[in-house]
Amino acid sequence: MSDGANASLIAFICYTAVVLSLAVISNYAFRRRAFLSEYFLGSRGLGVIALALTFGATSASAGSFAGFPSLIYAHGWTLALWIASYMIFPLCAMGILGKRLSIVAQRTGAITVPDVLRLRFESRALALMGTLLLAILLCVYLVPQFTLAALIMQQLLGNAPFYQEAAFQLQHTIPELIPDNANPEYVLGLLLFAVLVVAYTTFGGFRAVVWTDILQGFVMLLGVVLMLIFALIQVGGLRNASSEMTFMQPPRLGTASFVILDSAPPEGIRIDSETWFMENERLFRTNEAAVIAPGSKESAPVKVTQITTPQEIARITQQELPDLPAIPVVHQLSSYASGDGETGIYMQPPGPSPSDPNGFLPLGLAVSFFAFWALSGTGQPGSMVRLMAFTGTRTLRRAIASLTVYFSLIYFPLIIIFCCARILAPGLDHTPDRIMPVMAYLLSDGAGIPWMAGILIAAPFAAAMSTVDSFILMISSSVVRDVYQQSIHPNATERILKLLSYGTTILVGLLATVGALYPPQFLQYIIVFTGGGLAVAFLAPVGLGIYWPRFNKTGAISSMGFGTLIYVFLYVIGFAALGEISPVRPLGLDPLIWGFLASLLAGGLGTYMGSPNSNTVLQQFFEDSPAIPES
Amino acid sequence: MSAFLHARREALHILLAWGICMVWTVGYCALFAYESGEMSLLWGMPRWVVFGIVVPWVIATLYSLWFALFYMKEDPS
Repeated sequence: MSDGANASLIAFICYTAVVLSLAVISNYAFRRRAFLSEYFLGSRGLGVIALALTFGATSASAGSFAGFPSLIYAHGWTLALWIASYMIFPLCAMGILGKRLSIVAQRTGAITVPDVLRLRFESRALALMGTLLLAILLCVYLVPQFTLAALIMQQLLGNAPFYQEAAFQLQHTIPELIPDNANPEYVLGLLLFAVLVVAYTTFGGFRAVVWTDILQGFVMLLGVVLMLIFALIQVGGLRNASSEMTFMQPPRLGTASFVILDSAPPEGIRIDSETWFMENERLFRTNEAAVIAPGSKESAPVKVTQITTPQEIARITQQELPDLPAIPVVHQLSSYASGDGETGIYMQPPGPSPSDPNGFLPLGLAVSFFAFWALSGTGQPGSMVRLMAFTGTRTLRRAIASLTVYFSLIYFPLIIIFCCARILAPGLDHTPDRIMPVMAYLLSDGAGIPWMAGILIAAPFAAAMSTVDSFILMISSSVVRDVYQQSIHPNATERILKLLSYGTTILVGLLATVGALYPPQFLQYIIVFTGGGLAVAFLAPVGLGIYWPRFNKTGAISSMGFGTLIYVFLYVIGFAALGEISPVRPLGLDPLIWGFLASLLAGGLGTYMGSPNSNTVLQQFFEDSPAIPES
Repeated sequence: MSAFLHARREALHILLAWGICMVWTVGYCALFAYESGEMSLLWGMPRWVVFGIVVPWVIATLYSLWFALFYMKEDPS
């Protein structure tokens, strides 16, 4: 583990140096260009690989490399259906809006998505409404992304002695920075991540973000391909892995304490996470480290997983289990709400679930997710901005082709890798979020090249970084361009705009860092809620705005407002009923789908009730549409 | 045909392709993964994954490549 930890540290240092260098080069190479267009849109100069990889890397957030693997590990092959609409995702996300949005943005000189709305509907109010929604939802979205990134940093570097020492020093030198009950290693990871991302985003702007996205895109692909090869070799082939999964039954989840008869020595006693032990002829694995403090006789309860599949128990107990320095006492165990005692549950939908008696993915939810990914991907303002940052249809066409191949090489292999993880790293069901770094270390050690862990584990880190940098810049561009320049000070000098852009970028990064110091619960739900909210707010107004000449200001405001309202309403009802950020799903369909349908309906009705668009707008946006007579 | 009409026709084409993918994938899985208890393997994967996910995924990938490289029109900015 020590070699792997040192390798991770070296990989991180190299990675940081390259990323910062890209920002410096970007800043110096392009400083003579018009500031706003360069800083927020790279002067619309993206090439094929840049467009494909910045689009892909921004779409693939920390969730793709932390949350998605944990779901595969927890629910098995069912995740192939859950993620299935990624088979057509690149075509939908880039192809539906890409060509029109690019042409319209070039014609009008729009730099941001609210900019497009303002020019298309001749409405500052709509642009401000869009900016407000964008800024609020993205700020909320950034907090769980920073939190996940800090957790990844903790996993990445937590085993390196240098990092542990630095965290110790931080805790004792600036204790005010460490909130109550917070792990100093987590806080150090958060600070390192925040400083790095804010520094290169502020200094380099859009072009640095795109360049680092390209680097991060390649890192992600390399990490997945290497993990796939190692996993298949070490598991003895995919057929072997699936055959073993056929017999698997869901485990039981519980807690256990560790007890000694005499008081613990001055250095205490530690039982590592992922330690196997037997208790009353039942096989368990710790999912957290247990510590018996000096002078104490018992550890605090830690999460444990009980293996229940007879074949798995036989396979694991063939190896010698470690001698424990303490006696385990298992407190309480809970069975899965769906799939308990059933074999084959990891092989077919709906898949096992610890909490939902209908299983992980009932059929209605499968339909819902097929629509969710396509709608959500197409409607993200972060994706739309990238579609405004290139010139020429040829670039778009080739980028769609590249991204199609890229996503196929990323997402389906992840399913195979983390199905293999059920056999290679069993018994981590109580903390499945850790499966990515655990597999990275396991596969590298198994292949006899522990330094490889540094490269493998860089993939989720890169995914987190590439999403966060884009969103920080998007909030900053909305504030500077859509609020300050358009509404407060239209004649602001480039120097003022530059200072304001740098300041806003730093401020947004600081706010997200402070939010992540006190990480909220339900991270994945917050990510899904804000991502879906952005798509509901922007997809119909922008989509109808560029394809339907008659669509007008009243339609756009109704569409954005009513769609968002329905979406939030379904979450509020769910929160009131369940006490967590979980929505109600009428007919089993996600609020995103209901919000989008409401948005389309309200947009249509509002258009027929509102005033027609001016000829200037029609000529500017639909010059070549047969619906518009030539002037 | 104008760039606007090209873009609109291409967008409708993509929506149709997405619909076909959904009907195939969810329809096949509804019939052969949710309803059937069969767990035979093909290429190391459950049979429903091969015919419900992998095959349409490969076809969707080939279709996307064809669409992007040959079907989409080159329009002036």
